Amino acid sequence: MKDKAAIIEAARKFAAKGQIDKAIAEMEKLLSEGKDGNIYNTVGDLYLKKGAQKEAVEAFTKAAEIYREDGFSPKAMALYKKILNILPADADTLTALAVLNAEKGLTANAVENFIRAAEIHNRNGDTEKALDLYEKVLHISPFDVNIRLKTTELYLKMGLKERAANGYTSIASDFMGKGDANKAHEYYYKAIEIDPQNISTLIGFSKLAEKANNTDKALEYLAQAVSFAPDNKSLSLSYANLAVKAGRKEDAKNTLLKLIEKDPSDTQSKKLLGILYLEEGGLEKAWKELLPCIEESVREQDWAEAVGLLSNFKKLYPIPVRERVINIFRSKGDKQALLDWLKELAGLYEETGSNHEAFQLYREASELDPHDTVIKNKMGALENILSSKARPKSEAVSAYEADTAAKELEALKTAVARTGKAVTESFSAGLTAPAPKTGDIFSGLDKGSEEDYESHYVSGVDYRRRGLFDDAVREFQIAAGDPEKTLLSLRMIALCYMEKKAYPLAIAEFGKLLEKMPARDERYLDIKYELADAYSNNNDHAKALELYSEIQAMNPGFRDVAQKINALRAQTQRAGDKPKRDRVSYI
Amino acid sequence: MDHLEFYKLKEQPFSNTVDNRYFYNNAQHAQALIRLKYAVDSMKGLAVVVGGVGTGKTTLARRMLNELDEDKYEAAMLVVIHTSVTTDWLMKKIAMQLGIENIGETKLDILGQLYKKFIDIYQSGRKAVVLMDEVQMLGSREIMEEFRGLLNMEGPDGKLITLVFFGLPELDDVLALDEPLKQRVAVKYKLTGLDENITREYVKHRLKVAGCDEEIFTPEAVTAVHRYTGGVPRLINTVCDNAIFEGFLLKENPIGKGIIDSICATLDLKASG
Repeated sequence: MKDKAAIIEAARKFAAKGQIDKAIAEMEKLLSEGKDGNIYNTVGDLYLKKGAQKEAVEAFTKAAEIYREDGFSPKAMALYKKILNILPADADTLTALAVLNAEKGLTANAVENFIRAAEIHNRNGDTEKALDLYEKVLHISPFDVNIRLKTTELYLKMGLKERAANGYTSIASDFMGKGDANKAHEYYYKAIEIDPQNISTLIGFSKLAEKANNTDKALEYLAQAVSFAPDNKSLSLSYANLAVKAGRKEDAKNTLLKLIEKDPSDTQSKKLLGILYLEEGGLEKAWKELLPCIEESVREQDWAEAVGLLSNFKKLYPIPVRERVINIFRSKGDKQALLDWLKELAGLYEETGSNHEAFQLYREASELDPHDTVIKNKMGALENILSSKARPKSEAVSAYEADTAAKELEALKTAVARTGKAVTESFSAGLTAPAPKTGDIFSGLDKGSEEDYESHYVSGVDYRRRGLFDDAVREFQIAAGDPEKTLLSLRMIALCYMEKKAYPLAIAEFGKLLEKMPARDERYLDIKYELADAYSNNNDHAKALELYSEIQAMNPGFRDVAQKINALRAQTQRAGDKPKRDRVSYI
Repeated sequence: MDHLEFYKLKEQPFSNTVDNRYFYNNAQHAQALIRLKYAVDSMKGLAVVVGGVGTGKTTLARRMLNELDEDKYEAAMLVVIHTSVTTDWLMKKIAMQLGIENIGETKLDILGQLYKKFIDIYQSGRKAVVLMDEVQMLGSREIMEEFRGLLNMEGPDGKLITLVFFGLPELDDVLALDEPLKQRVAVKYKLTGLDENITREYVKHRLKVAGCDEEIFTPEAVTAVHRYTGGVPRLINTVCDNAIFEGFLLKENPIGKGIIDSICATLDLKASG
């Protein structure tokens, strides 16, 4: 181990005597000990004293790098400045200093250093390095127009036409933002001269024209852009929007129809097209386009949007629209709005003679506002109407029993008027007669009236909504007797089990449903998805994963199946997959 | 602070080493896996997956191997790294990977041992599967004939072994060296680049696995990634990996399109469209 202090002392003595080379030689002995910025700095000073600029700069540079690596930025910066005092046009040092300034947040200094370095490279014909540095400046100071111009000019010099065009377009766009249309036009023009098919530039021209209220011209530019980029959906949609503003609705419609043809799930285009149809009075066409948009709004809980769109179709589809709006307000928890719509729909149901549906809605309304006498009166009236028709079986059973008891009592009273054994006999006969079979009791009621199954289904929906899942299941099981309602009822049963967290039962029901349903049925994937959810909730992740994967294979974009798969995979890996023995070999 | 800390990452998110934790189950892979499993479960014999460089063939192969439960499958994977593989060496390797001990010296012995092994596997209620990656490197008719020979071994329910080949598009030419073998391809799937939306989800997924829930790339940056890489996962990884480092140097968060442009210029990638 060399004696550092002794060596430094020796070097100092040599330097004092003017024997610089010997001093340097002494100090250089220490360089092999390791990286020491101070040593290099001292060596640099010695070289400088000797007049050996190149060697001095090398030593100072080394020192600066060491200081920088060790985190001593101020020392490093100081050394770089020292170097620049010796060699003001050293681009590498300027760059290194700029980087440090940028790291320390000294933006103005960094920009100045980078620009100086870039200009040196440019003068030396090293365009690429110059460009690299201008781009660094842009990262720090993205709004500096001069730098952006310089960068753009360099792009042009290097033949990077697209970048150059984009550069001018970006500058133009900024000028437009500041309201300087002339400057904006000037730079858009420069851009289009370089790259006539530059989409951003054409869009810029279009915006300029639009600002100048020349919508036709604006549309022309956009049409040109669309012709160069026919697959750019947002561009085509912008064109359609502008066409509407320009009153060229047919143009807009044609564009939107093309977009929807390419991507039938494009709700943005469907929405605009639907609105156009609405304006023309084409309600049915509008409904077809807007229904997916309404569903999307509901999924995203944009209630106002959904209700707003639905309201356009109140007259065309009075009941379905109101049912949807009611569901929205139920989800939203807006009791007042829900109350109003419930009453409205109940009134409609009354008008159409659907008294049971009307009654259910009034009942829900009465729970929201128990003091509303109008609702109570309506319920009373409907109850009377309904009680004279076929009733739900549970009520029918009680009614039957009540009737039977009343009849027996009447018989007894009559018999009492006579006397004797006849009374006892008839009463005893009544008592000892075999109890009517359950089927018999129901047979009179179960005479295939469509309204029965419908009533049970509606009751089931109501019970489910109120959280009375067992009652709901019972009702749906009965409703499933109607072949037209079987699948729907089985699904509802399964969903009730899901809500009851009785997942094995839900799995069984969904499984039954899938067996009855052809794969091409539009609800098939929904049911399979729900079955997968049931397995997942039942902690059978492997089976759930298998089902989700099958769904994804059939329809990759189906709901959030991709996210579910990724989440389940991550879960099973976190839970610790059984590690496989290494079965991979290389040949 | 290093670049991982800067972006709140716990590990490198865009390494090109195959790691099942980073597997992104996109629709393409899901469909491929379903088809390949079908080929295996119904003992079809030969399934082929082709795809360009970096499209995820090896990742898919590893994923499939991982999913072939040892209780139901005797599965092995061979990765071809040399073009001069001989038929003897290939058969020995297959035998070794399937757990045959005291492998015979001659090809005839080895084939006999393989047949017996296949029967044992079949009788145990399992299925024998051999996945082979980079098969386009086996450009030998002799080797293709050997594969055909293996596929001739059948049981009551189908082929006793299922071979699943993964390779570059040139694999089609290699299979064509033995036309009867080419005709035995029961299932074929072609992997292509990811589309822009899936690229976006892919990047997000990898960042999440690496511990970052934030969007560290701007939407324009991801669009640019897709344009430069054509949705090829390996290229996406390379570009994003470099972008994270560059972004850290410039203290840019989120990472914008400019950095992507700069990196891709350095990597000599051209934007499409």
